[in-house]
Amino acid sequence: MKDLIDICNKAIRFSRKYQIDSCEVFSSSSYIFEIGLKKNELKILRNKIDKGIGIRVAINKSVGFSYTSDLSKIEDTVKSAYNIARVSPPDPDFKSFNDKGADNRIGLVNDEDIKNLNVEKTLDIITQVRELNLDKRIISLNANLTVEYIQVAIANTFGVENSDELTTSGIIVEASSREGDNFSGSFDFMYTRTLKEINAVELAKEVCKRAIYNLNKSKVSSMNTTVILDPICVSSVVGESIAAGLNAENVQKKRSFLSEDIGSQVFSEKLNIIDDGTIADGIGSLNFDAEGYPSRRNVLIDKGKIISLMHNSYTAKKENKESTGNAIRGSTFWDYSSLPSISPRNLIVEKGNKKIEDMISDLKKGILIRYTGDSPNIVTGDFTGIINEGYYVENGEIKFSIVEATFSGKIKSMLKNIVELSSDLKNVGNMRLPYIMIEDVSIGGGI
Amino acid sequence: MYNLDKIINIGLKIGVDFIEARFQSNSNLTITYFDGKPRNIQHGFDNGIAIRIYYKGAWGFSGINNEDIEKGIHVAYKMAKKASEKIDQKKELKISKHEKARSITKVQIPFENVSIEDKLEVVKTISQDIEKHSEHIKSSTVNYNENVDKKIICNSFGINVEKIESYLHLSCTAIGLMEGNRSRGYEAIGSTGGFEVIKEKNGYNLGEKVAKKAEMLISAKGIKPGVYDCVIDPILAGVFAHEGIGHPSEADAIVEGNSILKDMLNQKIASELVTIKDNPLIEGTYGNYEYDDEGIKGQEKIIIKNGYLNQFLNNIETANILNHEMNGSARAASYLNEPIVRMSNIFFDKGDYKFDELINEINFGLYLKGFVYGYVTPNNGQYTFKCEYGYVIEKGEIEYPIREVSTSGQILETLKKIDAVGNDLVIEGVGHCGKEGQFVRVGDGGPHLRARKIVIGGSE
Repeated sequence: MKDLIDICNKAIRFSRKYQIDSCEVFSSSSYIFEIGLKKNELKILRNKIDKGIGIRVAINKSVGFSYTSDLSKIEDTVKSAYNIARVSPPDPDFKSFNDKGADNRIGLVNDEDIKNLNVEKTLDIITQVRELNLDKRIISLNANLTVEYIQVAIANTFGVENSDELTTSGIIVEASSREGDNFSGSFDFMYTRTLKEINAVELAKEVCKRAIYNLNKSKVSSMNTTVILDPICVSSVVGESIAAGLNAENVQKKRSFLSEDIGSQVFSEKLNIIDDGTIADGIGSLNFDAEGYPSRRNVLIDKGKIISLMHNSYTAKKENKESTGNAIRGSTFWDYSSLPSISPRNLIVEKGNKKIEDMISDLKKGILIRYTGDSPNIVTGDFTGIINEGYYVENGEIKFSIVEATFSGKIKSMLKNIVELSSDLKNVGNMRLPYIMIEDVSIGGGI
Repeated sequence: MYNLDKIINIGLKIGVDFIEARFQSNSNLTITYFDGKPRNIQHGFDNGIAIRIYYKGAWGFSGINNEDIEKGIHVAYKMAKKASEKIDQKKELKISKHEKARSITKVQIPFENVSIEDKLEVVKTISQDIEKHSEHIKSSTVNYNENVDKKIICNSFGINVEKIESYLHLSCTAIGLMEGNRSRGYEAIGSTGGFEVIKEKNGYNLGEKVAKKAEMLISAKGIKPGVYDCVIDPILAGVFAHEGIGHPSEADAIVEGNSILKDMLNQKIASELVTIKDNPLIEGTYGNYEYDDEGIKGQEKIIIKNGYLNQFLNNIETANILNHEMNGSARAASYLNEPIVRMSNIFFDKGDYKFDELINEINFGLYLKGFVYGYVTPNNGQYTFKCEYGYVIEKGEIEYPIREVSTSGQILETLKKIDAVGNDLVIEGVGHCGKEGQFVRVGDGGPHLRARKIVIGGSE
């Protein structure tokens, strides 16, 4: 990581040649190794090395950004950021980059096997999946394993200088099933900081089991009913709504359906949500955020009441507040080619006290929704989604897999109508979520 | 610049069956305005090398943006070798065409000939136009994005293609708010070319267009979920073509058994009125290219011909596995990715109905327009598309607007429900399609289509 800090400081030195107020340099490198099993054949083996810098330059209230992966062009990149800042109209809301660097060591879990790119171990995991005895009805099994070692460094002209590293591994398994002319399938995924937490074989077995069960499918008629959302579906309906709805930039720009509800009790009292960038084994954790602010734990929703927004330095300074450490760059969080934006680091919906098995067996009639590919409309707070994987439940038993159905409603009323949260949490990406039972959800059926 | 021939020679010396080296650089400028003010102006320059090796039936890949190219070759080889030990069927790789060519996008006004100040002025004007045309706009975004990609593709079969692709994308979003009702309007244009694209695609009017749309949708009503006869606009038709047929006809999905179109070649899968093509060679579209990222010349593919499944999209690998012709459908988002099978511009071909005739023959139904997003589960053809808005049709007349609705169903069933195809083909859907983590620019479109008994998820 020393070389990344050196690169940052080199760019900072170049920046002093220009008439600027301040400069920030973010640098990251990622070593990625991917193995893919396609149709049960070892197919993709990919090795990627991506290293570069992103530079922000401020002249009064004008900011310019430029990035490069060509480290022989650091000076050109500084100049390009300077040229953009020079011609940019001033942004009255811009105050400054992070001027409060802090050393904040939290002791995060990293995996030496990933750091040393232990190819054999990753191959072993995928080979185990390949050697599974598959039911004849499974016509294809795809599995993708990615391990990544990321190093991050940041420096700016306010004296902030920090570096850290993290390792992650992720697996996605998809199975397709067929019986005669009847097709179906299922999938699952998990992301962790270490390889040993990946239980690929169990995951693949469960996916195949569900893919076969899903061949038993049927349509339902339109109705209003109780639903149980699987954690994967919770991430779309609740997770994305809160992630984008309490993003300070969306709120300040009145692009959030929750803009008028900050500080108010708007959801069910059973709903508690926190965001925490300091969890030792969280994939969104690092000592600092993508602007160098110390990572921290923030309560977003307490007993249904909205307590706090998620900020980066720009949105926080606009309200004369301190950043909440929610700056990230790009979808990978630490992408040098992206400007800082706002995201939860590790979003946690607090668990309830009923086991999922009991939630289902106590349900007289309703629908268990495992997955929707749809996202809420954050501006209006409307949600309409297809039920890509879901089950009809009657008298406490799962009866069949549902096809051609949608579910919809206002996010606010859905989160008000929460009646139960499960006692077990599941990791879904950078979120930790329970099963959630919601009353009176509108189902659009295909009958 | 790296010497690609040297990479090929190192590979051949090691004894690989096939090696490909691709240099790829990208220079881009993005200007974003929020609410009439600049929010983000950024420039990026990115370059690197992708190395692909085929050895005894297995692939290895390295994507690298630092100096350690030679190590990258050896790691790719090591991976291919390791994987080949676990592969039972060792298929040989053949290429029927290998060209040496140079291809440069036709550009009237190169981006570098226009100053950043002038570009800022254009974006600012469009951005400020939005608020001028509606008093209920609470928030707006205008996003300008220009790119120049340089690619050189060499392989051990003798392909040597050098290309420069220049393209522009401009989009506007406007959020309306009135008495607690919110609405969202979106408009985008895009094409290969230079700065002239803005004028050619009427980009200067984009602010006005998006403002009027958001204004209209504020008071738009919701509708009940149910089954409706529908007329579909060219943007949504493009999404149907792209998501519903395009992805399942990508031959990698066929090979993996992950497509509903597997084993259906030459079968009737749609109404005989339906013809769907994919064509990268159409200039003035966003999915335009002459050579693909394996260096194979692009061509028109007729995926569905008068209702019959006619052709898949192939890259070198899938063409070899399926014994099909290569048809120039391989694209890679950057040097960090290998070329995979992708669409370019996909569209429903035109029919002979006039727009009025499509509407007149509906007693009670919906005219669906635009789209927010959509996707299809490839192995069962189940789809969901979220339309931006629509209108209720009553007794053959377009009545009042409705807000965002989603439509879902099974694609092959829906294609059989198409009972009329308009004569007004346009390819103006512009987007960035994501597959396996790679985003590439694509175009899509069609004429207006009419389909009976479509499942609509409500918004009431």
